[in-house]
Amino acid sequence: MSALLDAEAKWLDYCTYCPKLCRQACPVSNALPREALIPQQKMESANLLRKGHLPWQLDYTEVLYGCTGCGACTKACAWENEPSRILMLARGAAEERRAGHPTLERLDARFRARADRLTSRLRERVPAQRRADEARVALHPGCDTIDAAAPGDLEAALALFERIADYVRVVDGEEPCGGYPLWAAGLLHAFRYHARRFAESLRKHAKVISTCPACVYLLRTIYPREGIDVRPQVMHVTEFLESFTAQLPERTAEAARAPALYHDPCYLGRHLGCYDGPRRMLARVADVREFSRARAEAECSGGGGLVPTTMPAVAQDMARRRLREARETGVSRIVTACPTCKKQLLAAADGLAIVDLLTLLAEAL
Amino acid sequence: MGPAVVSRKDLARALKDVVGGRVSQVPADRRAYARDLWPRTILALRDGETAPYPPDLIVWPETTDEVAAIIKLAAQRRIPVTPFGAGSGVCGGAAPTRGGIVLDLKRMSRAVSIDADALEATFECGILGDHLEHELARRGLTLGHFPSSIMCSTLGGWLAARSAGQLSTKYGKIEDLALALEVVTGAGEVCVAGREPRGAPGPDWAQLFIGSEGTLGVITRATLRVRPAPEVRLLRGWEFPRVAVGCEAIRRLLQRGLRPAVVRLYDELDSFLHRSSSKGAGDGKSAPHAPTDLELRVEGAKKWLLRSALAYAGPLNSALGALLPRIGGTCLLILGFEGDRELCESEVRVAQGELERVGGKDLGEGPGLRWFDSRYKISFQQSKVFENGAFVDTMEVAATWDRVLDLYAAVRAAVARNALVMAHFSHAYPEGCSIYFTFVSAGRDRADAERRYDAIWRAGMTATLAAGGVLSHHHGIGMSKQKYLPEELGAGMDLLRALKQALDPAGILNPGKLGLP
Amino acid sequence: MTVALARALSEAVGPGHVTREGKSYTVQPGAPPEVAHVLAIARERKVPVMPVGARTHAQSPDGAAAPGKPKPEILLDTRRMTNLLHLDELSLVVHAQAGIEVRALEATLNERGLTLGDFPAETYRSTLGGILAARAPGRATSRLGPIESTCIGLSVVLADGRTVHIKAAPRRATGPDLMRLFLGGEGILGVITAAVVRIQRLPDARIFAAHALSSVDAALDAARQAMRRGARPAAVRIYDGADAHASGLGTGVDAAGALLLASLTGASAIVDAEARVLEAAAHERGGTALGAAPAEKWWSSRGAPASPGEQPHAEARFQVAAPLGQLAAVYRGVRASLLAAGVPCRAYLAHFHEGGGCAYFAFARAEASDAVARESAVAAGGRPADELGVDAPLQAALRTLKQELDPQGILFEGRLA
Repeated sequence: MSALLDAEAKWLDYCTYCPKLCRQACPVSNALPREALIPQQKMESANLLRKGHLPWQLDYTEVLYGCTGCGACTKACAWENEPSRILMLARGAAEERRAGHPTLERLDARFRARADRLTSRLRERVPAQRRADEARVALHPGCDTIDAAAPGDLEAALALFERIADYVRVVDGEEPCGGYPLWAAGLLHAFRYHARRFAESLRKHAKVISTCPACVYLLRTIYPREGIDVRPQVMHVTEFLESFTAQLPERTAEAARAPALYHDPCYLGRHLGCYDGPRRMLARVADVREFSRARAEAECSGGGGLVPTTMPAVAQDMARRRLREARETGVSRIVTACPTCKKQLLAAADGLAIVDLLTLLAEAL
Repeated sequence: MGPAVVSRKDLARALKDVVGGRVSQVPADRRAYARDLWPRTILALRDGETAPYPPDLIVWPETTDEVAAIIKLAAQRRIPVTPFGAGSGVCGGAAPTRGGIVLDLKRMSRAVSIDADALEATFECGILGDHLEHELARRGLTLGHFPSSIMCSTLGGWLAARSAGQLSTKYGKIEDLALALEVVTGAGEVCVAGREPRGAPGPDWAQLFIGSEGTLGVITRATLRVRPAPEVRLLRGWEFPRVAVGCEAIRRLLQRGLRPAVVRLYDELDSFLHRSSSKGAGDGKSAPHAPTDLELRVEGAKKWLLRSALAYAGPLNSALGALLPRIGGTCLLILGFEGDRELCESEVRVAQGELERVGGKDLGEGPGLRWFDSRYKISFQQSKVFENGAFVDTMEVAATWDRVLDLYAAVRAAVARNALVMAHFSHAYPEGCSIYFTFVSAGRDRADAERRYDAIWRAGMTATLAAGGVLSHHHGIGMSKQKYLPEELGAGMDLLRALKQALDPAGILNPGKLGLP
Repeated sequence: MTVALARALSEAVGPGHVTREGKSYTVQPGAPPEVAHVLAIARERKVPVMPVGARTHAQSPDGAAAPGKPKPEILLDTRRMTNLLHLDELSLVVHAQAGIEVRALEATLNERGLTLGDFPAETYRSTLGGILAARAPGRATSRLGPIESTCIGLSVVLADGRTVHIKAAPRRATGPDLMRLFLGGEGILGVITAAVVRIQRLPDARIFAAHALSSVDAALDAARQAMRRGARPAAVRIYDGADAHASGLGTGVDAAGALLLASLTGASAIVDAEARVLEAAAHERGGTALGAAPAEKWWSSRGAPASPGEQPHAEARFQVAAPLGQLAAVYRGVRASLLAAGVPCRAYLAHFHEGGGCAYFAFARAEASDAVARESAVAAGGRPADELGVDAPLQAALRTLKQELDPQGILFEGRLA
């Protein structure tokens, strides 16, 4: 891990010496204004730890976990520096030196246990005839789709696919998760192990579509970087369904097209560049409204980077911040295309309706 | 002010009674507030000094009443209080040099009211500049205040430090934009200052809090003059043979009554670099990979070369000075008007006539548009300079026209002995303008770098005073320039001390700054 | 005691420059060191001093003090210090002593094609020090802002006799703007002896415009709209129809309507554009363009009494300042309440700049009508010009400042509570 972090020396130095030009973009420090949580300071901490000027102790490594991976700082940076990626490496280094976050103890084992539980749950919820080990096009429901406290999105997605592209089957393998938690915690060994297994389990499909933007991002960008071969074409559900837009259900009567604020998930938007597809799909059934910070400027819901585990109050505050404009403008329905975003926003919703895009479309069937 | 005799634990407990959990003394937080953007502290950081000026505690108030209670508590116990916005000052003004309490204002960041008809908006002062402008832009308004630090500074910081934005020639500086302030004095009393018209005789208090750099009161709220977002923005580049001709052009434009939003004249070296820079930041970034051995060695060699060149700054400057005219080095002027289309177009016509009369060459809108699109990018270069083992800083002074060219020559010569130096003229007024010097240098090690750094500032500030300029146009005094303040203000220092006595009798607010105890 | 004082003062400024005025002495120092000398005498004998210029603003010493406070015994008249120290035509600033009459300064400037700017007529009756030290809203133009914003450098003699020089600079960030202790400070903290102020070239072009509108509200709204678009008129004035007629400016104006007058200066292309902007704003509100004549007539009669035969001192001149958005309400409120009290009045709105404007009322002097006018002005969101309106902590801070800078309290405190 040290070697990996040292390889980032120049980028760590760039942040360290920077006049904090990206700080206005960081959703974590916007929600909780501790200077130690601005991207420049988080990177400075990582740098000083790396150089041995600060001790590898939780006192100083705690701030490394104050990042959702949203990428807003990278977008604001003229160097396109990547604090979120480098902070994840730093977390791994912290873990190696027994200075990792206490809430992530034994994450590998917990991850494994959760994966097993999710596999069973998936098989309970999805009838056998909709699952297929060998399907050409396989639907991969993300963890937060399977595990959702308010289920229904998975069933709605299935209903939609059944109507639009009924040859799509749900994956039936042993690995439900692309490994995001392990990657976000910087546990590279564990991540690579699970990632290889996950990639292997997907080999039999020609195309894999996921409800989870983070999984899509991992499969497309991170797996290849880690030397893991991903055979199928990987898409987010909205990318797949976008080519079927004309067949998607429609609400034409104005009275039926209630306003809906579209929330860009960080991993679908900033990381994968998918902004227009979901909007076109949403426009089939609703009057699409925009947050004043939308698309590449969208504010993070707080769900990524393990922040809901390591700093739950801050994660909640981020979700609340994201929703304040909805309250200001009186649009009480927020639509998103990421199960983690939905979970985050739902917890802070307090009367607002948080709806998954596919579910909204399925309702119009 | 006597030494603090209170234990940190007791103080934390007293503060918790006021703000509940919003107090911290953890090492990571104390470290994060231990400096602002004063380049001298970056030199220290580069050398491994992780916390130059750590406070004892940090507290995050959410209301003006909490601020007042905290200050009263601190005044009673004679604990220093350093108000902190986003810590983007470059003079060490927000560094808590005496320890004590850092008062982070950023939990007070609401837009309290925005009145598009009266063209007024009230904000809590902990709001980041970019967020403030966003709230206005959503409603078709603008403050028109765009310092290059807008993404990393707060409204409170702007007011306390007397900031000026890049479009200030049109929209005014922060003191022109502030209609009323809510301030908590050093005695913990809440007051409202400003608001034309004032009937009572006596000082214009809002104008006295503005620029007080946290030493007279904590500014908690401000009512600002806002404008409709501009209908058009017309940008253009012009070329002038020499700085003197360019300055003459600016003078004439302003004295004819024009109010350009932007008027920036780059001297020969700055123009040359401006024109020859590629996208600058952001180019050549490949997918992340561990640098190869060869790459590391090349990088190392480049850094050594840069540092060596900078060690001979004087001859380097002279060489460039001699070279540039030979390769046709000219000066670039960026001119911009924004606002109502009809009025702007009439101003552009008058400006064009004026500039041509003085001998300017119209370069079209290209340079203007390019400047506008990349106007914040230059600040990113700081990272590269420091990472390469050098240092960069800026010195901005101002004078009336009769002294501007002499001031430019004097400061440039003084700084050029020890650093590569370039300048631009901006923030123009009918009676004068500001000169903004950027200088780059390097030392063999930290001590040598600091020695050089201090020598550059000493030379520059001394030259400024001798040439009749003012020490700072908009960066302020803070810690770094306060030793020159007595010469700048003369008997005025006693006025400043009298203000301090009047508003902060316990002397707890940001002590050790602005030449005050 | 007074003989000794008179002798000391004569030694300081010369015997010909000390005169007895009621219970006080008026002295005219010829140079700043004499000012310091006079203040030293005042300290020694514990005698309050009030700096005066042309006395267009200052009240008579007998009426000026707050109850229980000592009245000034020395009136320090600056009008012998009239040197124009330096005229910098490159930077367009002038450095002059505080006692110079603004009218005289303006005349000197005009000879060289220069001007202080189109400030309200009363400005020119004062001394330079007077207009800078006086706390008076309404000394403003849309084009240049309030008069104190023209000041970029100042010399002030403190109570202890030392001089503070705040050097001339277009703008600085060297702590608080210390000039603001004295601009509008009415001599409480120090005596202004010289100032550096911005000047202008005489304008390339000056246009006059007059528009008839249906009401004062509409006229004010039109002016605001033009300023919102970016026009910066040298001067704007609004009369209601009746007052327009009473002032001889009513041709083409409905008695129930309003008259909007403007003077625009600057480069001719821009002035033309601003005139079009104003016209569009008036037209949008149902206004009719009346050409230049009414505005020219107004301009040329500035400074003269509002109508012939008026007794200026028999009338109360009530000035209320307000943010532009509230000015119309203030105007209507005060008029209505005076009307209800059976007191006829004349009024106009003027001296707008972005921060606000003023409403001026003239009515037969009587305590009752004063009170009526004041109450309704305040109710509508205005600030009468002589109203004390500073928060308690700042009043206390001023006390401390006074204590620090003038421990013997020799600089007259005026209306300071």
